[in-house]
Amino acid sequence: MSFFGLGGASQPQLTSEQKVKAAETELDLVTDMFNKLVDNCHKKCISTSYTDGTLTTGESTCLDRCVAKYFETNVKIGENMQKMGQNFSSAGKLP
Amino acid sequence: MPTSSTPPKGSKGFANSMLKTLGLPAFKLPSRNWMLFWTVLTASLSGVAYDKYEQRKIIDYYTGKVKPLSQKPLDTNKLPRKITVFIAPPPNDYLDSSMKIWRRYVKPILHYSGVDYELIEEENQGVIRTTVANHLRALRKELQSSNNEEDTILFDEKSAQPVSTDNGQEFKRRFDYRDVMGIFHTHQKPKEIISEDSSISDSKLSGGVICLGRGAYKEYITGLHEGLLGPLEAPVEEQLSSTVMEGTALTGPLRSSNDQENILEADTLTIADSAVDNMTAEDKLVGTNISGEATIKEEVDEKTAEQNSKVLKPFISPSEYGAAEFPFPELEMHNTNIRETKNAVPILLHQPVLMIPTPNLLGFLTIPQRIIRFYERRKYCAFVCSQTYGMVKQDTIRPFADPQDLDLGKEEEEDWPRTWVKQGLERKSEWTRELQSDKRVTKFMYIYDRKDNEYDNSK
Repeated sequence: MSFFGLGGASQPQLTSEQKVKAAETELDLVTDMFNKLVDNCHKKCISTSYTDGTLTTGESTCLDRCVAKYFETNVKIGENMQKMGQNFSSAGKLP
Repeated sequence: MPTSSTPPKGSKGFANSMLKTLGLPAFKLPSRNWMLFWTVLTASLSGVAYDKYEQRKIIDYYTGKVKPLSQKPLDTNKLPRKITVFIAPPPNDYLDSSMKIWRRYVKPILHYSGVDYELIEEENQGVIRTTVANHLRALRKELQSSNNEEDTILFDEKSAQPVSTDNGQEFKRRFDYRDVMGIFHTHQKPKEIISEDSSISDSKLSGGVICLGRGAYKEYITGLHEGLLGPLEAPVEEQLSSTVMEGTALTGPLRSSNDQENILEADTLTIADSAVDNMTAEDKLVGTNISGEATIKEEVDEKTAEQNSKVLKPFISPSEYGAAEFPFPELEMHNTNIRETKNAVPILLHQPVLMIPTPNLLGFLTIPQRIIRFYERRKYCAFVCSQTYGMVKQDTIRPFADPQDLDLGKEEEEDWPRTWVKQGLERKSEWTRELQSDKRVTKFMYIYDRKDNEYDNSK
């Protein structure tokens, strides 16, 4: 899951300052996504009657599936956003 | 004039005298035809309603029995038991028919028990066999290569530590966001994720396989044999005659596909040969195509290309089972089991199999029988649910009995349309062949065999 190498590879002209900034932004994004993921999957999967402190098997499988679906959704929407962005930019270029 | 037959004031028509003899107030019954209509309607609808109500009760009963299993605690570095489900469509019908059985009767029980499952479906014959065989062949290749390779690590003579020659690539590879996000400040970061299936000593209690449909079962068994006894590379054939699967729909109902010809891995054919084959296939398809439009031809090309990769010609035929060598001699000698390389779970061979027949009648003349079956669906529901429950509970596992257990679910074949079976026999398609096994493989297999039905016993 490390995206660290990507920023540098696509634009080799980045200065080290910019690279550090890119890394910081990336970390922010990932932390944000993680927090949202934990929030959403906790609401959906974990029952509110706290009789025991450990996770049950049902909750564990639910969490696994929730995370998998979240990431898939994220990726799919990201792809769609990219397509949308391309359409907009290409539409803007046409006279 | 008898007073009982006279209608009461304010109503027209003839009042039934029987009602007076029964002591009920005289009211006007509808005519004979209407009575017939309402009787038939209420009888049929109440039959459906009762059947649905009973099905609901059965499913709720079994899911209720299984829910305590999902309340057991599970560590955060553990993965629960994983069941592999193979679903095949009934002949001449769509995958949806089998998926309905899966979704209504099997899936709720697996879901409420907290067990993880993986679904492998197929639309055409041969996909399940190819998947299973490919998986086993890949595993054999990995085990072979891990036996052969030698690890060479550069050692620095002074510090006696491995020397890294990359420019931070190792750091990039090892980088984990979890180290910098501060998640593991109370708990230890889990070293590795362990599957529950891998830590059970008795391999027959790990995982499980469900084959939904006789076709899926046959393909699973042949896939197991092909993957274990067959060669690791596809046998190189001479010029393949790419006969067209005219009857096989690429989408739509499952026909008896002619998978013997026309499908082979790309690397065993030269590019020129494959181009020639594709050309002839294309031409033939255009010839037989009713509309013959260019767009349809392109779509068909794409789909055949997709299909070619999913269904492979068997690497070994059942007659060659005896001559092939069993790849894991250590299984014979010691009481061990072969495990997957990724998560140390015993391979599919060791996991017990549950075969669920999917009866599916088609046709016009069978409509009376189909109506009866429609009103008796609760019995099939009780059967499927109890079998799945038995699989989840894992209390009725027995070794595979070689000739008899190959006929598991054979009653489903009586439902198969006769013309489809005849076509299949002519084309020598997989599902119509007799299932053949090799004792060296089947002696390691197990079956879930549950005879009694708790729901019926609890009533």
